[in-house]
Amino acid sequence: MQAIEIQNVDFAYGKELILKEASAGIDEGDFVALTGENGTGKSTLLRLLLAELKPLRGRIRLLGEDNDRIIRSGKVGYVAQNGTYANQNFPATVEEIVTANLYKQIGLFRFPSKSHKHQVYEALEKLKMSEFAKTMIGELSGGQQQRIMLARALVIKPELLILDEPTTGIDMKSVRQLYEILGELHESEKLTILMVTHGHLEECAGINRILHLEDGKIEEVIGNGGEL
Amino acid sequence: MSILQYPFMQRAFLVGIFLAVIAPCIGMTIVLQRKSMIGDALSHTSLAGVAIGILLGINPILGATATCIAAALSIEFIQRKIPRYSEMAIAIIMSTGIGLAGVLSGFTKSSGNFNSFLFGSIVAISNMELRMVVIISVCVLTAFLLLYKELFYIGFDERAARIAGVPVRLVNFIFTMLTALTISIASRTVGALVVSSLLVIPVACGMQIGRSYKMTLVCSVIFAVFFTVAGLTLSYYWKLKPGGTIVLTGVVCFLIIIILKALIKSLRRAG
Repeated sequence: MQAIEIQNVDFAYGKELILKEASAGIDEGDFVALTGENGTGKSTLLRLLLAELKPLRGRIRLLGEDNDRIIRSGKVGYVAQNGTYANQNFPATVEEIVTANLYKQIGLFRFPSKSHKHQVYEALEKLKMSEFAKTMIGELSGGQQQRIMLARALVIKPELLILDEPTTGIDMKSVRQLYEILGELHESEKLTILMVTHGHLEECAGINRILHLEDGKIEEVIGNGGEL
Repeated sequence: MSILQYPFMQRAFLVGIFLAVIAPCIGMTIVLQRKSMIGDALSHTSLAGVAIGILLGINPILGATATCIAAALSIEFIQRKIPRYSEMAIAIIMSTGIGLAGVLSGFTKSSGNFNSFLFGSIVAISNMELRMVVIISVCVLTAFLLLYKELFYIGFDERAARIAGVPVRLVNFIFTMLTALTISIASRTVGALVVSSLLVIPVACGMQIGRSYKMTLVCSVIFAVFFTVAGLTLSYYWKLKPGGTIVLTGVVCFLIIIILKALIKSLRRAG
């Protein structure tokens, strides 16, 4: 089964066509980088995948279901670009932020239980961040904050992980650490990963495919089995 | 304490404490969603409702509640229509509210009753108004606690909350209603012109001390109760306007906390 199917998608802002019959398929277990110049529509494509926008034409399916149905099912994890910088002064601990993403499991009008707390610490442990559970998010460095955002996405044990330029604004050492963790996750948990990125792909050993967005179309730069 | 032997002061303290508990709950979300100005817009619009209430011969708080809810819904509607310049919605509704209040207040026979809503009249609360405040406060607090984790997640990252399955639109709608209710009843006590301070200042103080979201909220409520009790006591003995005194007590405390925090920081650096 394909984890992501983008079939002949058209999308426009007003009269400006951003995507023109864009198509791509990402298999389960793939670790795919999506590249493209600024303004080529990478963020638009992500918003379409996350069902925040509707295509003018075409269809998007995630994990075998229409994206607008599955996106809130808890099977898709998402890490935003600069996830935390806008919330630098937000008065919350790492534990509170990661717990928030267990919303679907906790349920409406209910409070987290001990097993939810255990899940949170498990996710933080994977990212080697459990010692910061009680730390305020704004007190962490950019790289550490991005790891917390990754832990937040992983706490729901997603089948598909979508990352939007996760390395923006963090130093090279943190970029390497983040890529190393993503590679390990892809290897150990067979997690399907789609990462929109600008560069430093040579630092990310786990990537096995590169898709490039240009002139509204998605091109395969390096396919399955290709050498980076 | 002699201050509590008067029924009007007992009512004032009771109403003040109830409002001091719910105001930071609403204020915390408003501040963290960077919507502090919405408090001002709704409280000014509530004045139009007060004038309508007086003109129609119904309780002005009911009029204020109705216009606050209408204003809150209008803000949401305009913000959805022009998402890129969403703060414009607040300015439009605030101007409409002030304009309407200005025009309608010219037709009210008792200007004293209308003016009492500008700076509040917590010591003139009737038993019926006390009951109304208690009922609305309990409803607002219950709803807030039930939506605690939803409001937290929307405040931190609305997009991620939506992806996590939080019914963002519904929660925002309920929260808007809670805000409108809180502001309309608070206008009567601290006054429409200063009600947003009651929402924001305790949270600003709580954020200086809190080491988590929960702790910040608890600290904010404690600060709000303290400002209300201290403000009412000071206003009674020094014969000051209660609403303004409550708010100024909060502002002074906020300044003290900021200065103390800076001093502690510099002492730590020096040590």
